Amino acid sequence: MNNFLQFIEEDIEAKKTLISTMPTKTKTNKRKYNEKIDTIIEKYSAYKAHVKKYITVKSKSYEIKKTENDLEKISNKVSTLEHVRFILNPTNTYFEKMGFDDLVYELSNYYEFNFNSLNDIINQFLKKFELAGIKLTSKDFNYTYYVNEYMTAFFEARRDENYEKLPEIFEKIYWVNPEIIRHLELNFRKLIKKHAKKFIAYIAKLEKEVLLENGVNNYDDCLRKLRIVYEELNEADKENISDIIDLAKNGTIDMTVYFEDNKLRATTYESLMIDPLNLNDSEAMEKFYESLGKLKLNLEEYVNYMKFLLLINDFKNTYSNQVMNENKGPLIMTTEKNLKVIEAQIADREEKLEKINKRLLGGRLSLFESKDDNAITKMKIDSIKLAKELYDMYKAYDNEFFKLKVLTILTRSLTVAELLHLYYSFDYFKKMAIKKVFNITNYDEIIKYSDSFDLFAMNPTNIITKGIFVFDEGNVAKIIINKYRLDNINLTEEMLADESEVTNLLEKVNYLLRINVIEKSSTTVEKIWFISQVEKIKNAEKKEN
Amino acid sequence: MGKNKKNEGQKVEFDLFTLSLAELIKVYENINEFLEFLEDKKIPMEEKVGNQDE
Repeated sequence: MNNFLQFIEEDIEAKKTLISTMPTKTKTNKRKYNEKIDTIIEKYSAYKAHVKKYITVKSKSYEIKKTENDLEKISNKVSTLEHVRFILNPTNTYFEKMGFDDLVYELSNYYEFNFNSLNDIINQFLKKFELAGIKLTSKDFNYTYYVNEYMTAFFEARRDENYEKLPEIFEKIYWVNPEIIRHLELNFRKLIKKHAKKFIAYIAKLEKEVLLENGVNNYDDCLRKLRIVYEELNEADKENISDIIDLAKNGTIDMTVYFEDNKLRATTYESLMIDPLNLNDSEAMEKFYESLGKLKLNLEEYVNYMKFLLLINDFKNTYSNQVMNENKGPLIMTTEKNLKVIEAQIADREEKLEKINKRLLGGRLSLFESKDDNAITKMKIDSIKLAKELYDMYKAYDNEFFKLKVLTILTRSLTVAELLHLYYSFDYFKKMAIKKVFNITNYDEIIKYSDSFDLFAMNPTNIITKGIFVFDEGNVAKIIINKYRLDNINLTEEMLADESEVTNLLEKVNYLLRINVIEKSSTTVEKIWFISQVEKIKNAEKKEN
Repeated sequence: MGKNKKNEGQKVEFDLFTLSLAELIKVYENINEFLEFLEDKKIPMEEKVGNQDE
């Protein structure tokens, strides 16, 4: 017997032969046959337990303790500076900085959420007013008779911290006036407008505070600092040996392809090198891995670019005529004029609405009106009609406002990064654009896209998007290919053709980068493979039990 | 009996010490597969006890 493996193999064969030759005709034969099997099972179960114990201990001894890095600390720094940037952003106004655009979007899409969410949104609005020192009461909610009725109940519920009765009240109002949520939105918008100065002052105070607290001089200084911490974050977030062991343990990566004699390993190196390098030439390989590291970041950015290409192209198509116009002055003036006209129209309608509401809510009805139910009903209907007009006017105002923002930055040399920043600055329009171009109606899905867009747009280490123009027909793939040709990295247009191809390419890059991490570490491919196999065994046993 | 089992366990572990990592996994897999094989090979016994076969 050479070793235990050989012993087991030979013993198993011998026992299989023994079992196959045992008589099983009679009941006694069967009993003896089963007894023999039970004896063997007992012995082999003991072997199994010993082997399992041994390999578990051995596997554990190969694990590498996670090195403490500053990832959490750096992530916190990023979040803080992101907040500073959000507050200092010169592109948007107090409306977006207070997060009102986000809440307006939520209210506009109320059919996607449940009743509790509605109350939550109202509470969020109220809290934002309170932050700026504005304490609203039910008297402030007089946009329509129905808004007042609901908000009176809402404030009572808020005071008592008991919202149980609200659904019943809401339902009662809803059947008479299904536009109630729109009216709530209009009421909030009117109040935001009314208290604009206070919000502007609050943001100005906040700006001063965040600058002082974070040692930031201004917006540009904030961007510079943010870029530095993002680079630190990229470095700290790089896959290390413990991450690779975790990936192997949870089955995300198959360690068999990491062995030196694996065919995939050789072909992947070959496929990504223009001139084959000697894999043992450590200096040349170090440069190669360094380029791969940069390529990885570029590809991640490129995948995001492709993910939101529809959004970029939609913007391009919408404004392609205006961008041709060299003199945008008249266009800007017209849009500004339109804004003033709509503003005046809103003020006029709101004044009319207020008059009706004063009579309805303030009990200032004439003797004839107070006795005439039809007159009261007519006033209520008139107020709903006016509110409907106002809702459309506010939407028209928003669109003109965004158009003005676009026109002020619209040039043939508008970069993709600048467009990303524009949408990042106007959450409402970003979500509306996402909804339109990706044809998504599901609320959660839109939020998912929006969050993923923000992560992409916010990243100050983006390189590609800073160098490409929205209105240019340049081939981004070609730019990447040519850049890496200089680094002896072989990229083709097919590899960068679409999201799925780039994801495949990223997998290849990650694969080679992992080999480098393993080679530089204190462990080996074999040990990590062993850890992954033992983990598989443990999981299978857990399942059985 | 208990002491014998303990000795055998120590022997198995000693033998395992000489195996490569791949062989260790192979040993476990062989044992496991064999145990499954044995379970499959067992003949279900009838409930009634009789002497039809004697």
